[in-house]
Amino acid sequence: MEFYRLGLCLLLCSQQLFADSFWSHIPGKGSVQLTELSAEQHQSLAQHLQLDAEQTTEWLNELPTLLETISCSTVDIQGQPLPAYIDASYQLVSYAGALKFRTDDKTKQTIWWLPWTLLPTLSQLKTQLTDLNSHLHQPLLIAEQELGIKGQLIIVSGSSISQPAYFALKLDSLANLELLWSLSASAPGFTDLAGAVGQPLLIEQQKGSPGLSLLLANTAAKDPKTLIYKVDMMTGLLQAKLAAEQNISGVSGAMALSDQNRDSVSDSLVFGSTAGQIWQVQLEHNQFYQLRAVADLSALNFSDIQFIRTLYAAVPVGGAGSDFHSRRSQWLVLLGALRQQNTVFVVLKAQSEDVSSSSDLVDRTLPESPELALLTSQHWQHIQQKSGWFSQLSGRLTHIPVVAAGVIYLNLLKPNTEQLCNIEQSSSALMALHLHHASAVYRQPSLPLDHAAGALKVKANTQGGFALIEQHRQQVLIETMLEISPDCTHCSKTIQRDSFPRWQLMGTYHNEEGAYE
Amino acid sequence: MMMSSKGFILITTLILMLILSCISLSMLVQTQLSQKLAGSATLSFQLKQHTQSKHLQELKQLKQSTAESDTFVIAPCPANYAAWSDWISSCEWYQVRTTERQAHHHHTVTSVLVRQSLPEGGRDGIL
Repeated sequence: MEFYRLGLCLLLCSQQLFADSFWSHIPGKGSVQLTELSAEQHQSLAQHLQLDAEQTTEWLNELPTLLETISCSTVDIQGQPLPAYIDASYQLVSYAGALKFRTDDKTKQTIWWLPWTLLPTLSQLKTQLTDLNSHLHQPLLIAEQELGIKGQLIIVSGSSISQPAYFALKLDSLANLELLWSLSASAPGFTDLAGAVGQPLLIEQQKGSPGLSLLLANTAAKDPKTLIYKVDMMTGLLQAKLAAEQNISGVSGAMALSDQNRDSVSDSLVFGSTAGQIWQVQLEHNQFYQLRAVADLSALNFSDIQFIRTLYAAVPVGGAGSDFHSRRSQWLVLLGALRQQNTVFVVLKAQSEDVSSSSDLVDRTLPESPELALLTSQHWQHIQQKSGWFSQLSGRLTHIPVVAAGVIYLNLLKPNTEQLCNIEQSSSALMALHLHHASAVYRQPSLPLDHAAGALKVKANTQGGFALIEQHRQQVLIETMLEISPDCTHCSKTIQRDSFPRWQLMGTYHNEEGAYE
Repeated sequence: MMMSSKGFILITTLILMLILSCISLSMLVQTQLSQKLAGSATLSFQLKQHTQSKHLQELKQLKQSTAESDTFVIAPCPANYAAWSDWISSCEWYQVRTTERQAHHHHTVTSVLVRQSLPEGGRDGIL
């Protein structure tokens, strides 16, 4: 009887092992499937894990269960679909560097890529993932159109805090995953790399530097010598470093590039600390310069920053009534930060001289009853004269908000802490806020959703306007989208499809030369 | 005596005739010049109007055409009150130049336009 039980157990274990495939990269030996190791590879793994051969086999047998536990430890699991030329049925999710290629297609297997440096500490990963006060960033996918190489995809990801490393994978099919490069503290120029939980940022073609580059944040908690590394995308070779000057530490993994001089080349980087200090630095020709503080929002008690984005907009500056039409074109910094596991959304005007603090922002959190959500003229004037607004949202942002026609659409999720991985058990909502004063634009300020929404898309509807859809299920969330209008503070109108493409005359110049005889 | 007075009258008449012809000639030149001057303003105005109408026609054609012109660059969208995230809306900057010539005179009108469109299936905003 015991023998049968053991046989059944072995059968089940092996079934699980064969159902998924697990890849890693043994330094000097190349990519290996952990379930099909040769004796020599098995020995290398045993040495790396500091286990004997038997314990290593046991570790390998327990790997599927361990990874299953890891997949159920976090809410930040927004999968990115792989491009169609690889396999569009797969989605990529990163669990602090452990990459999972998952699919709903039962005939296809789940593929895991585990960084070699992460293997010894894999069992400790769960503790890091269950910390809902920090945000888990997802990898960067660089597709063939950006690479200029047909059929190729490059995935760049950061790995856990205990063994910090950034790595890049190159693939032309899911059966052919290859490590392109891996950067840890042992790599030349990266000795002070102490945290790699950031989202890598791609810099497209810059003046004076051919090829693509990446920005990698050193998310070390204490006194890092380097804040940000600029590396070559294909080789991982160091191109530039942003040295810490002003006692900056605890850089969050969220960064955003913008084109301040509007010449189609990104030249400015905005980044922040997990506590909410925001900085801006200029970037040109492999050089960082003019590092300056933009805002200090540490009084808002953030535990991490989920994302930072910039937006160029015409912001009202005139006040109320007849002055309403005065506007100034300027850069806005949009950021989502975690506070007690909920999101605080901030719209900040990037002032060139002053460092904004939280007291310069107007609290525009929507009250429970929508009729109380009044925008007083005092608040409105304060928003226009000072640095912007913030709104506390009930739930956690799952995707970068979409700003469409001056309305910010936010995807929120209230995770069920008992069942973190089962996103269907969590309640979700979609919120739509006015870009300039955070009032509700639609009659209902928050739209409860049956399923947690994935990435949002704007799509033409049958009524000659635009609808907001959830991309994964193709579910219509808002049938007719509205556009804010500059005619008055709360004015809005339906976006008409026939108004696109929109032409705007920026200027006309006359030139006369020559003479009559 | 009679002979010398006759000579004097002849010379005076000749001098007077010379002065008169000088005056009339310069008046003729002046008239011609002012005519030219007056004409040039009209011609210049006509040229301007012609260039302008041709330019407006070219702008109209550009706005109506669905085919992409080869004289545009993709660049950040200008600031809008109802702003859009850069991954769902894209902007192309066009430059339309119209030049008309008349004799040695030419007039150029240059317009810079932005075409904002919403391409289907833009990039994702991943956290």
